[in-house]
Amino acid sequence: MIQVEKQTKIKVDKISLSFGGAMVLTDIELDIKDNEICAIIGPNGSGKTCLLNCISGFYKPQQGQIIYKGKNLIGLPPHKITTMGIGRTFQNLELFTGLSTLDNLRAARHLFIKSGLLASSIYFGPAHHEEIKHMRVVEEIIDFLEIEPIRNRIVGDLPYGLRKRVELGRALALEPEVLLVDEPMAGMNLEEKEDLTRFLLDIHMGTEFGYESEFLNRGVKCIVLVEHDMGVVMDIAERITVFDFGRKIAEGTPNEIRGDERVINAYLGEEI
Amino acid sequence: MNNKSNFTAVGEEYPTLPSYLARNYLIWGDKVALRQKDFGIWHEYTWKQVYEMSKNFGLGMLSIGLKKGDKVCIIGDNEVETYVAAYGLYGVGAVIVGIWVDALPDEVVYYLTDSESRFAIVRDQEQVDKMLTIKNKVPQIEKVIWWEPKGMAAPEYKNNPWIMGFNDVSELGRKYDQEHPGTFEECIKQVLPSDSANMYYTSGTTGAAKGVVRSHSAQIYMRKLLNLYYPLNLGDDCHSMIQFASIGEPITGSTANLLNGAVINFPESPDTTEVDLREIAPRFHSLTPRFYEEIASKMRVRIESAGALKRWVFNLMLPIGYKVAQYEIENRPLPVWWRILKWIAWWTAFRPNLDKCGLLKIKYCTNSGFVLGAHTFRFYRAIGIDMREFYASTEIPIIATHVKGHNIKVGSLGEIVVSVEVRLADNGELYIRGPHLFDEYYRKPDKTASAIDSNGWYHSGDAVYIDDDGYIFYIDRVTELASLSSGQKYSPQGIEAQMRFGAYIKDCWILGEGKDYVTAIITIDFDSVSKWAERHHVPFTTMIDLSQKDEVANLVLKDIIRVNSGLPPATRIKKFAIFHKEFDPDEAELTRSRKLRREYMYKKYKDIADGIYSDNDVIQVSAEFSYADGTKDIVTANVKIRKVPGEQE
Repeated sequence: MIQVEKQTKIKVDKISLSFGGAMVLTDIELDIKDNEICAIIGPNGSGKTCLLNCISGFYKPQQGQIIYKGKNLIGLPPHKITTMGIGRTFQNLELFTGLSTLDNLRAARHLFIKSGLLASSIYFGPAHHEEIKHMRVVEEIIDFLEIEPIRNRIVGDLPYGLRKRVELGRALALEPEVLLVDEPMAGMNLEEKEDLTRFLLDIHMGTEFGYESEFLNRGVKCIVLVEHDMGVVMDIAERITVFDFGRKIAEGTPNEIRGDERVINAYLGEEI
Repeated sequence: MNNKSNFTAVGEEYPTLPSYLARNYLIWGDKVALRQKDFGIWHEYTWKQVYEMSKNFGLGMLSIGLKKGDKVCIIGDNEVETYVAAYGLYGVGAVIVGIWVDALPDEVVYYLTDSESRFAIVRDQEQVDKMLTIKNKVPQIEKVIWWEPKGMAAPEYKNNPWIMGFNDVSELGRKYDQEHPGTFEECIKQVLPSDSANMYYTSGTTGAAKGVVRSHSAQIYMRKLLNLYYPLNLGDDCHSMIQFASIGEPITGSTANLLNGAVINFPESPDTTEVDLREIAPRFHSLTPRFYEEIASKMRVRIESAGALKRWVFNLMLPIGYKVAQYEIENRPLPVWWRILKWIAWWTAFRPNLDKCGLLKIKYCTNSGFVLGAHTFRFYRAIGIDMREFYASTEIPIIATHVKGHNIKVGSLGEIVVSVEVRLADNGELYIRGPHLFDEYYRKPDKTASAIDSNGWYHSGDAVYIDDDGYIFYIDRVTELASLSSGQKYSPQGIEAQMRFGAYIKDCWILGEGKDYVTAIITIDFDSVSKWAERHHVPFTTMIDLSQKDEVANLVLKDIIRVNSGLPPATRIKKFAIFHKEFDPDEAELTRSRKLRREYMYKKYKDIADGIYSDNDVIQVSAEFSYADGTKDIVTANVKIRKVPGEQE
């Protein structure tokens, strides 16, 4: 196996977040590294999703900084962070339920569109070519995630498992360098979990299907996975960080985490 | 060996399938040959491209060791690569052995071993994995070639020399062509009309599956016969869903493509077929009853769930469709008034529905495999589709069909086609002879000898009845037939299946073996009959009570009369009884797949089985049955025996 250098991609530096008097994240320090699937686990309410929200710009931590590409992300609006190469999915699915799968994915390409309002309205020349280029990317994502049969279905009518896949597709359409995935396995049956795990691994490793979209062939090298399903986490994550009550209580490889006393206590409870 | 020397006049100029490929390259070079949906867009492949791709693949196979006459199996859904591979293999004289995609590993081992295949061409990772699990059992397979790259990047595939990519083979072929130009063309010339082109495995319900070998001339003759009844033109869109494992494939696929220049369209994936079919709008469908029934029922569901106005219009127009269809079935000229109504019905009700299910541009629909239920058959004709029966088998595809412009007898398989000879054996079996007969069962000379006699007659194993106008009615497989005391053969299962088409009939038990006439013991469908009874104010208490009502008997009688009208007079149902309970697999009366266990039934219900032939009007039937907790009880009921009016015993 080839050893790849794992440089820090996102550095979370002592961030703290509170809502009123409630501390949800306390002095979190975390190095999210390139070429790695990093998982964040922890009981409900331990602050996992809050961390993702801080990275993607939805929440503003009161203290600390999040360094990505030499810049502090705190204070930047979410759409700016997205253009910097951080894509994400949501735990509770934030899709346009009235639009088709295709349109949901196309909407995500919005930030790459260079043609102005006028050129797009006339839809001639460059705007036309640009649209074709983006459609190709979207179609390659559809092909990759095997959602051809639901291409023109309204997302609101789709079963939950497929909607999750569409959301993953939308995150991919942003051509992210870092992909934040929030509880992708929640509410899925075994088969859907297996499929999604496979997709996540393929996204990470890149494909050799000969797509025109370079990012699909190359893969998204840095994936942050927030997940409850221990089976999935232990199988695919290379490094796991454990949260409890807004604090980081452990960090290590799946094997180290499996035997960690604090993790067992956090998950199973302590004897009184 | 069969007597095919009588039929040598296969298109002299283009005697083989690859010679048609070469012809099409020359005369239709820039015309579209194949169309594949990929990334949401239809991609077109011209004959030039298809020829080049086939050439590269065929030569690539030569360079990895293929010899003329070798068997190569193909496992995969129909896509451009499937056809390119097939045409390339035809070109270098290989024989294509089609295997169903969902064949179990053991079945694949049997097909590969029996056919002595040296190479396997498979679609995807799933099939490659299947091949890897059986690798030790098929040592004669030299290479497995895949074409769908998804999942194939893993090192266990990449580093395995047994496995090779389609593109790599084509690349070898391209280099081979540069070094030896003209080889492919030379190979095409060396293929003879009598050389084997395809091998199809029969289903093997009786004993081991047999490989039906069909030559180039047999395949070409088949298409030429089809062209007399279902002509296709250059550029006509076709859709080929049937895999190379079935004789259905060349009927709508390869031969239509090669001989007629019809464009074969491939959906994006099997899951998108329904949506893609609407865009394809094929000209010709050749499917089995199951598919037609599915399409029809989906159409009905769509109508039921449509808005009130649309539903009202459709239901208003449907009777017009049936009336017009009746004129067409009887081949009577359509009065002007009906022509106007037909036009209105077509534009307001039928056209939009046909468009939704991809049948808008259809020229002909043929049904084969089993006779389509009369209801469904008439429904299709009513909504404006030229639905026709088509009698075919792998050994001799196209035996009989309904002919345009002739009277259509619903329930028949149509008339014998041109250049096919038939003869009825003493036991009612149909013997057939024709130019498109298969060559042999591969490596089974004894089976071949018993199927094709010294005079070239193929013993079909089908018992049929040919009426005075020359229409063929399928009865059953000869081995499934029963006979009356007069020696008259009839098909209990065939009649039972026909009876079950009735909406109020659940099961039917046909009696008559060794008796003077045929009788039926029928079980009603309690759900639908009880609803009917409520609607028509027929009071009843239990199933036993309901089953013996005269009103219910009259309901069932309609179906008996319908079924009788399609039977030879001697084997029509003369008497019937409606059973007081449903037949039940838990009582071992049916198998789990709901087949009647005749011998057991005869033992258990001897009273009524014999009683129905007596002069009694009522038979007391008592039978033991078990409750769910295992306790047993005996139920006794008086079952009325009824005569079918108009039928003499």
